Amino acid sequence: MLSDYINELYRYRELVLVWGLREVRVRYKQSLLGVMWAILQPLVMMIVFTLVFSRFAKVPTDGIPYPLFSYTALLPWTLLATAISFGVPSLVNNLNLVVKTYFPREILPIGAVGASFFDFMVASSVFAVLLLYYRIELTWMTLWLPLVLILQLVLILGIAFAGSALLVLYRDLRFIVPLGLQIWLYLTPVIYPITIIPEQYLTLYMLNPMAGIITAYRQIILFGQQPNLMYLGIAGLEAILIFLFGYMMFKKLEISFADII
Amino acid sequence: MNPIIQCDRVSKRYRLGAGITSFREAITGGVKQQLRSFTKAVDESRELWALEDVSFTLNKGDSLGLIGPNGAGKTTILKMLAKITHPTSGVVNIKGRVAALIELGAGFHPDLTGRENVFLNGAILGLSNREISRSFDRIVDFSGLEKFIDTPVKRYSSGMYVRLGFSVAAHIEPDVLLVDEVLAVGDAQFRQKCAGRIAELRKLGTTIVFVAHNLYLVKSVCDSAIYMNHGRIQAYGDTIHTISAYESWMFQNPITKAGGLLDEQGPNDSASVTFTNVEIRSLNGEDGKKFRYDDAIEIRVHYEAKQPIHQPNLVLRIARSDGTTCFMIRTNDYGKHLEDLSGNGVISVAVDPLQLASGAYAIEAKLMMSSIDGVPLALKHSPWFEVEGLSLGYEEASGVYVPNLKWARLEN
Repeated sequence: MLSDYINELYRYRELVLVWGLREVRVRYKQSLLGVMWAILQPLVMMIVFTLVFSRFAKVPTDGIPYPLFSYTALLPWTLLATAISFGVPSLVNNLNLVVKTYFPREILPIGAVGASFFDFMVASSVFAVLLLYYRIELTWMTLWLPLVLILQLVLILGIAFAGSALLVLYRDLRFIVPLGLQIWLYLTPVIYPITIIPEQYLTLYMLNPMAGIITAYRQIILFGQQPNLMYLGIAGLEAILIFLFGYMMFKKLEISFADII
Repeated sequence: MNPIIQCDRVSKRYRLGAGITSFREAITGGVKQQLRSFTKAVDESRELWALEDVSFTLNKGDSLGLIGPNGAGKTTILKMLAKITHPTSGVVNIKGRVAALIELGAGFHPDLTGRENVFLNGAILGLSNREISRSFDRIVDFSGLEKFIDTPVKRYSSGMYVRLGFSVAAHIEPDVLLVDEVLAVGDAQFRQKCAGRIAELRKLGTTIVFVAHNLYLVKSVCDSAIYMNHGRIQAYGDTIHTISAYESWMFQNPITKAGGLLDEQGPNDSASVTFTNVEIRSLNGEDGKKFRYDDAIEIRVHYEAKQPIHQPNLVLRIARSDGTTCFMIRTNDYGKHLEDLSGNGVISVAVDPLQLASGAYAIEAKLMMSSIDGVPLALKHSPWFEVEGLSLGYEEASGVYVPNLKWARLEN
């Protein structure tokens, strides 16, 4: 089953690339600042967060300057949020293609996630500047970074698959997605460190896969530590399960997309 | 030889109605329905079998025509072969690369330029970047859109859309080409080009499935045909026999199309004159619904005049089922002046011979005052009647007129 799907997807690998590029191009076509938006979104958030949570409310950061502290989390968080916001409506928005042409449908959410990943890479350049400015030295622990990033992408793809397929059936999801992302942001250590979570809630809190992933990013980059393997393990396991569940559901519903949409 | 396309007892059911589109519906009334749909006990009035028990097999290089009236399931078959939609039961098996030209502008993104869309479309058809680059110049050349290739396709006309779409699909040398004739909207020259390219692909061994209304095109392009009606195969076999099965159905069935006829004026007490009946008879005495192109016919208009009508002008329009006006007889144009009408009576016009091509026709009779033209005093049309001509099928493929010809060969 799964290997058939992957074979078919491999046959269409060129389309994955072309579609991803198209997503990037279309996203910034007819916009004045173009790709600058990829940088501006997390950057503006960082500035506002710094003002509110560092100047007004004194949120602890374990000794890290707040802009750096929040940007380390905002960067992957923005990746997740934009990938889901674009990925979930990807089928419904491309109705024309779904109804009139054939290709493995998962290419649509994959393309949306891919384009968000492109934005993420662009916005990472600002992060590099921040690291230089605050004289953060990267250690060998940086080698953990690709693994964490891959787990995060697996998680995002799983959600995008499940969400885009469900949106075909239930348009309610259009309203649930922004609300859900908002709530999820507050339940994830983006604005604050996990150290402020009371002990008795910590286990429950860490069931949020993004909690483990963001914590790992901070540990690796800001503290030069090995990520907490238990937290990362939980997040990774959840990500893989969500991915498998989302993908299988997507493929099961795929047959009826053109008839329902 | 291994078949390229195999359809085995394929059926397709569509659920009518909007389906479930919000959680609330799903949670309230929908739950029961959902459960029922899992147990397969579906409300039968809300479903439509677009295809029932369709089976056929095609080998490499075969070309199949799908013919039949609108809504017969032809396009559903194409969509199934293209894997856009899936059968409710039965198996569809296709080997190789499939290129489908089913709907206008499918696979194009309006914001991207023609060039970008060629690559996108090619990739959707399963081509690598390198393959597309290799054929790019030929594709653009074939489409004749060199000047517009860097313009976003949202500024294209529908004809340009189709040209670009066909050019891409026809140049990827697919194993299977699926074409819906609806696409043949380009100008005559481009259609010629398309037909030529399809012939070329046939020689290269491409298997072609072709939905067409133009029966001549089916006859010249396809070596077998399926006549579909009501979602079922009615006839399947060599092109000539299948076409004649479809034609005999067409002649037997009354045309329900409006054909662009004006609304009749119903019985009206205040009207000074009404047409009670418009009938067509064969001059050989047969009174039928079906005539040959060379029959002599008589049109009889029955009228009922409450007041005398002074020198009226009778206008007879012969309309084909697609709305084309085939000819128009105005008594005034012929320099004829009808006598004053009063009481009940019949006006008779003989047309000898009929000289109409194959098709379904109706006669619209209008009565005008001689002083004020254009506003009918009375209006009625005849029932539809069929004319069996020399040509195949209906409408654009057969023309409207069968002239009396005298052939000769002249020496210089």
